[in-house]
Amino acid sequence: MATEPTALPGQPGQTMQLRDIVLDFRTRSGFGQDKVFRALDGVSLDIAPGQIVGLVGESGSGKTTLGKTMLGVHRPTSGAIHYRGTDLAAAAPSAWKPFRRDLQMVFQDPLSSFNPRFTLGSSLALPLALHAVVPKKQIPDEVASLLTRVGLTPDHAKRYPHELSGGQLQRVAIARAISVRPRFIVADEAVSKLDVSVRAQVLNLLKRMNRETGVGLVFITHDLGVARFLCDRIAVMYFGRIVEEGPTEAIFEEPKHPYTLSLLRARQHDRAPVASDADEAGLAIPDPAKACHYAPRCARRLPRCLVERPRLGEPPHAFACFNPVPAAAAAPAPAVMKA
Amino acid sequence: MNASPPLLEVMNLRTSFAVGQRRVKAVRGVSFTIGDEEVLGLIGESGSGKTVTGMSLLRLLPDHAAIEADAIRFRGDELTAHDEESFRKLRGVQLAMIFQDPVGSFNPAKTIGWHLEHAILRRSETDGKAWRAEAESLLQDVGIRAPERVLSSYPHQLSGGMLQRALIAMVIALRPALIIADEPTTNLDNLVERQILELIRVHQRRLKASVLFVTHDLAIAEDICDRIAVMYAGEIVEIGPADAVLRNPQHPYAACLLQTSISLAQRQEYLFELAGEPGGKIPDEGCAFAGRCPKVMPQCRTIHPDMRAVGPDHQARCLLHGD
Repeated sequence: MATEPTALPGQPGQTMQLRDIVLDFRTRSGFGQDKVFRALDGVSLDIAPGQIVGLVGESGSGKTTLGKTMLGVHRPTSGAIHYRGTDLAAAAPSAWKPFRRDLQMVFQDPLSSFNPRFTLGSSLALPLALHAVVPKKQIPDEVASLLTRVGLTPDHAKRYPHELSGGQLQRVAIARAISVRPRFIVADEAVSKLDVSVRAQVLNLLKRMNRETGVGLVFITHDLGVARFLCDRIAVMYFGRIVEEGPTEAIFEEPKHPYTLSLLRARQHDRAPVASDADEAGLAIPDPAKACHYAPRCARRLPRCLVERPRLGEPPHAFACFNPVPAAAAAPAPAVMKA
Repeated sequence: MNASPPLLEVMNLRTSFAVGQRRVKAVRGVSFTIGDEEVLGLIGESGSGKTVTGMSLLRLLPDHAAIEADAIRFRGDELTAHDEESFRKLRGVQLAMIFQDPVGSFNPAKTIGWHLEHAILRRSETDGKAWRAEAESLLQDVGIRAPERVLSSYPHQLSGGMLQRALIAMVIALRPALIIADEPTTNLDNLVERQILELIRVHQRRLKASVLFVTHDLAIAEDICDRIAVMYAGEIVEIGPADAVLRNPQHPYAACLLQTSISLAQRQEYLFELAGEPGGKIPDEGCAFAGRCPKVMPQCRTIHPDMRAVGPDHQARCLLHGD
């Protein structure tokens, strides 16, 4: 997806098209110049309506930052976000207003995403009233039906956040996200704090909501097993870039990027050695303009990788690597996967 | 029976917390043994009592906790007989702990070197100056390539993976006989997690230490444990060799946990779901899992099952298995 930033989206529909998104964070370093940290470095990604797209990668890879950028929390330094005929990246915050209802979020920690002094019923009623989803008189009924749809009872509307368990509260967070009938939900590590048995319930709920309402989902996770279950497509991120992107089956059956392969192997508890990142604190990202940013850790590094940066190839299965993993190297899945 | 006692023998451990006028029972009669150089996995969800079990053994709980046990024997030595003063000599030397959050295990105002110096001098074989050379070699042992720099770093300057390595270096400096590792990789990324697990495994063998490995993750348990104990609502509901428990679980709860991870691996349209949530009120009588159990029988509501043999060195707490 090496579309030029100038190219206009061919499909004016409701696919969200991210094109060459760059996001720099500036940190003050006392006197002198500010330091610039490039959190997103030329990210291009299509999110089609109704699809579940997984963003996977380690902490610091930029997956959360990318999710927030899609919602307008961060404004990209450059690049474009084409959505329903508007370039959201260039748009002023006020121009986002018509799209807010379309784009909702579910966070990792459900307890901190509710006002502790509101009953859950009032937390659910607020967005319904703000966006005038239903006439005011019907709001209590709508709240009750939302709670029922996510497997709770209308009675939960009277409760406060601390009275519910993490799994129940995450259900309410999902109910709130779907209440305004959005087109996309960004879910950031939405199940990683939940217990194993509860995690399955919430994952099933997210999938069911997607199937029933056609809401698209951007699912941010570090857990490949969860991504495999839930996602239609997966984008693997490493240090602010997408290194591989494609249909879930292709990512798992035929990983092309060495980083994807090492993530898969780490899950499978393969005994083969992984490149050590023991010195990670001192590991400087090489000159971003010249080398492949994965080269320092890469087991398949070629001389070329140090002087030339590979571009992400073409969809449907795109990868940024000069020396991709041969098809036979992918190992079969183990019996017990990380849950 | 063995002539020499097992490394650790825990009999009927009960830990409760005072909450207002009530006592909340977190651990309700846990018994197990750990042999020499053995890794026992303690698996459970939140509120199952697995962490409190580990903390009770090391007496690391706050004052409103009451710890009782029929026996806690370490190499035959009755630990409950030790007072706080003499127990402190064991803890951190013979019995060490690796916590989930390495940041909390370090004093933020002191360098990594300061921590290692104290750990090494605590063992008191090294004289005042020689600790530095030993600290550097320990850091190299845990895969840190620039030990001088790490020694002079403060905890906040290191990543989670590096800190967990430094913590493991501190623990191996003490050469403990038993390491209690409580979710030591839960906060780490997948690749780092694997490296840390590998480190624990390597040093456990090198030190000939035993490990009580507390985790909620079956895949990690499969990877690192010799035996596995599954906890639910403060009790061990199944215990046995890791292979037997994971391939052929006999308690419905253990089977459900396993089923959940298998359905992740097999990419089904919907995951296997176990109804309800852990951590609810424990019924006064009957089996604590009865309310969620897919195989519940009428008698489960009234009879509290005891541990029954279901295979070689393999027991489960379930009425489905004959007396």
